[in-house]
This record gives sequence, structure tokens and C-alpha cells, in this order.
Amino acid sequence: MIRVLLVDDQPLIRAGFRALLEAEDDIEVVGEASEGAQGLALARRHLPDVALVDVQMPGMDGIETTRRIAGDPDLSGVHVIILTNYGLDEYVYEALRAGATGFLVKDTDPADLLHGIQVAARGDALLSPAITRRLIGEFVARRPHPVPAGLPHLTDREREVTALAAQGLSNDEIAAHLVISPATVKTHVSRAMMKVHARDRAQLVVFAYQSGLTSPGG
Amino acid sequence: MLFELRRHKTVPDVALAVALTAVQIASAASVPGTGPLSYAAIAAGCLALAVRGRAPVPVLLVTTACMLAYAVAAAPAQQAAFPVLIAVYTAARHDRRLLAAAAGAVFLSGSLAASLAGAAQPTRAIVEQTVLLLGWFLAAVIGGTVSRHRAAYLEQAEQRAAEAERTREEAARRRAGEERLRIARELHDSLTHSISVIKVQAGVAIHLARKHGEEVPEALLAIREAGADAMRELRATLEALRDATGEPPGSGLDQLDSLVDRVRSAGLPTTVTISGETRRLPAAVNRAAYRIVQEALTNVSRHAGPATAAVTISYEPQELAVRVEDDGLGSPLLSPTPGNGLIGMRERVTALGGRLQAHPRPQGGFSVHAQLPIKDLP
Repeated sequence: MIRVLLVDDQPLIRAGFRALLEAEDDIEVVGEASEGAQGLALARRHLPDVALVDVQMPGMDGIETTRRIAGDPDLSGVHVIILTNYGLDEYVYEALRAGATGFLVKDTDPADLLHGIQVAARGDALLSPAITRRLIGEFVARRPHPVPAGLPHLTDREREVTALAAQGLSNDEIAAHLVISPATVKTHVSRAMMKVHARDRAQLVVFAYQSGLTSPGG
Repeated sequence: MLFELRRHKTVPDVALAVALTAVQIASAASVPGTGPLSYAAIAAGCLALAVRGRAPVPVLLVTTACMLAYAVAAAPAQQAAFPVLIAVYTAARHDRRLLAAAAGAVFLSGSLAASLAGAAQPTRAIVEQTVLLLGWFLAAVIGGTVSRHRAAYLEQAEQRAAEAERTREEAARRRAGEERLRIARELHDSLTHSISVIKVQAGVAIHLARKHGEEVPEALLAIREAGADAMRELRATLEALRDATGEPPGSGLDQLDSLVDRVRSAGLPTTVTISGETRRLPAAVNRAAYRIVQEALTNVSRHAGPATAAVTISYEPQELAVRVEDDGLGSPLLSPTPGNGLIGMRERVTALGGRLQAHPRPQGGFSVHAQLPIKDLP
């Protein structure tokens, strides 16, 4: 059972999502919040698997909410999916840097939305890998960021795996590419994530671009 | 400032030349030894002054030579020096001080030697007259130089004022653009919220109906489609507004030919060289490259005087190099003043992680060189 928290300032959007999610056998909506602070409180109370967080809200916005959830050790099991009206934009990028697992455009086809929630709950893959990769590459190329620490601590294999993950490859694809077992890939990815303090695969991708391990072109 | 001098009024010059010729010929009648050749020399030396604004150096040479010939042949009093004084003044005003002084010296020493050889007057009086004339020649050279500097100063002040005006206009345009973008954003934000609700609700209702095996009402499908259309149009509108604020659409290197054509027809001969493997550029780099060429050529036509310009675009593996050079008046007097687009160019280049160098060239003229990093498009 995937336990989901809805955080959106529009009651009609929440109602729509609730109707959609409740109809699934393996998804349960554990709470609804209309802004960030309330969402944070509900996350602490219910410890959901997935929090759907609207990026723009009055009060505490989605980026700050994501940052607080990602920064709370008690909430390490909560995967944040950012909801956006627009698709690719600066907010989404900031949210991914803040610790979101991925993002979904609100008017995504309901079936894709449900699939996204399932992927996020597993926490081992990127939501829409191609778009995430393009988005991050684009923003990193546009604005210079300080190179994050952590690169020196990675082993060669971990760097290799990180670079491939940043290109949007899944664990299975990386395993096939490097001719090693998926379990080994998973171990390397987890170690790399731990070393660079990435709470999610998306942060590992952000790290890969910012550290220059992967460039937007390749 | 050359523009200023080129606009020299020719009509007063013609009048001056004619009047001077008349006076000189009239006074020559009382000078002993004036022959037909002397009259011809007077006429040529004085009438040449009619074009002194357009050709100061030839006029200086002709007038000095003719009047010297007259002075040597007929031994007039000081009056033969007046046309030479005017030519000397004009040459000094056109920054030919040395030549002007040399012409003055040749005329004075030549006529002094002729007077001494003729010995019609006592030596002492001849030397006194020459010293007096020397003073007049010095005054002509100094006067010409001062006048030149004053004209240059006025020209520069005029240019500064024009630049300031242009900068103000640009600022106003930018503000208007920002305001338009702000309105667009607000509209976009509020409308997308509402349309999202429509799309989500319709999408969920359709999804649930299908899931439960019910027939999906046509109305619901229509609502979802309309929502999707509205969203698309809204996005397109915002894009259009966003483009309108910054750049006219399609200002990129593909417009280079028509830009250069315009510049050429405005009187600046311009060559374009494109080297390296041309390829599609990131939009921001493409626009920046175009703007740099545009600004640089504008500056050349404004400040360089008569010149030719060379535009070089090099596609290198890691960067796009844009170079605009001219062979005009890249002098310290006309070194780049803030506001002539260099600041804007530099900001634009820096924002893209590139470098811009702009400086007078050692061999004359001015050079703008921008290096814009290009990575392969994601």
C-alpha cells in the first residue's frame, strides 16, 4: 500500500487527485494540506511514502516544503513529487535541488500520474528521466554553481555509475551497459548517493551535472 | 569631428576667394614689375582658397607657391602674404600644423631673400616687416589649432548627448518590456491555475469512468480537449510576449546577411568571413552573436569616420568567436565611451560565460572580439 499526502492550495485539484488515487487498490490518501507548513506537520504525523506538493502555494511554497521534508531525518522515507502547472521551469529545478524525487505536470494523463507515484515510492528511478536530465543540464549550463564537495570520495566505479544514472539510465540499463549485475549497480548507486548526501536519484543527477561528472551535451 | 569639417560651408569660401582675388589684383596694379604671369599667379593662389575646406593641403601648396612666385617676381609689400596666411590657418585647422608651419617658413624666407636681393628698401625695414609677418603666421597656425580643438570638443559633446539619449530610450524600452512580461506572467499564473483544475477534474472523471467500465460522456471529453487547447494557447501567448520583450523574433546570425546589407547601403563597406564548421547554435548564443555584430557595426559607422569593416565569425569546437574590426579612427580621442553599446555587449557575453575584448587596434581602427562558449545542444 502506497500512502500519499496531498499538498496543494486548490481544493478542486486535491479533490480530483483524491478521487483518482482512492480508486486505486494499492494507494491510500493519508492527508490533505492547503499549504506547506500544514503539509509538513501532516508529513510528520502520517509519514507518507509519497508527498505530492504543489510548487506554488501561498504561505510556505513547494520548494521550501520540499527542503524541510528532505532535511528532516525522520522524514527520510518521504518521497516528494513536485506538482507544477508549467512543466519545465526554474521552480522545478529548485525543487529538485531541494530534494524532490521528481516532478509531474498537473494535467499529466491520470495513468502516467499513477505510474509516477509508484516509481517515486520505490525511490530507485527518475521520474521522466529524459526530461529531468534535460532540465538539470539546462539549468546547470545556464548558471554557474559552486562545485559540490564529494566527488573525490567516489570510487571510479561509483563515478561511472553516477554518470550513467545522470544520463537517465535505470539500474537495469546501467547493469547491462557495464556488464555487471543490477544488484551491484544498486549498491554502487546507494553508496554514491550516501557519499554525496543525495536523498534521491534526482539529487545524484544534480550532483553529476554540477560536479562536471556529466555535461549537458553528454 | 571630420564630419564637422567636411560640412564646411563652401559658399563663404568662394566669396572670400573671389573678393581676395579682386583686392590682390587691384593692389597689384600699383606694384612695380607686375606682369601677366604675376596676375595669373595671384588669381590661381587666391581662387584656390575657394576649396580650402575640401582640400586643405593641395590648397596650401598651390597658394604658397603662387604667392611666393608673385612675391619674388614683383616684390609687393606684405599684402601677398594674406592668402598664404589663410591657407596656413586652414591647414592647421585640419591637423596639418607642421606642413602649415613649413609652408609659412618657405614663403617668408623666400620673399625675404627676394626682397634683400632686390634691395628696393633698406635691409632693416625688410627684416622688420618679415618679423611682423612671422608673428602673423604664428598666429594663423595657433588659431587654426585652437579652432580644430574646439570643433572636436563640440563634436564629442554632441555625440555624448546623442549616446545619452539613446541609452535613455533603451532603458525606457526595457522597462516597457519588463512590464509587459510581468502582466503576462500574472495572467498566465491565474489562468493556468483555473485551467489546471478543469483538466485535472475532467481527466480524473474520464479515467474513473473507464476504470469502472462506464461509458465516458462526450461532454467530459470535450471539456478535457478544450482545457488542453486553452493551456496550449496560453503557453504560446506567453512565449510570444516573452520574445517581444527582449528580442525581435529571429534576430540571430541567420539575419547577418540582411544586417550587413543594410550597413553597406548606409555607406560602410563591410566584409563577412565565416570559418569553421557551421552548426546550429544555442538560441542565446545566436542572438548574442548577432547583437554584438550589430552594435559593433553601429559603433563603426558612428565613430570611425570613413572606414571599412570586417566581420569574422569562427565556429570553433568549444566556442563561437565573433570579431568586428575596422580601419577607421580608433584613436584615444574616440576611445569607447560608456553607453555606446559596449557595456550591454559585455553584460550579454559575460552572462553566457564568454569574454569580450574591445580596444583600438595598434594599426588604427577599432576591434571588438567576443568569445562565446558553445556546448553541444542537449
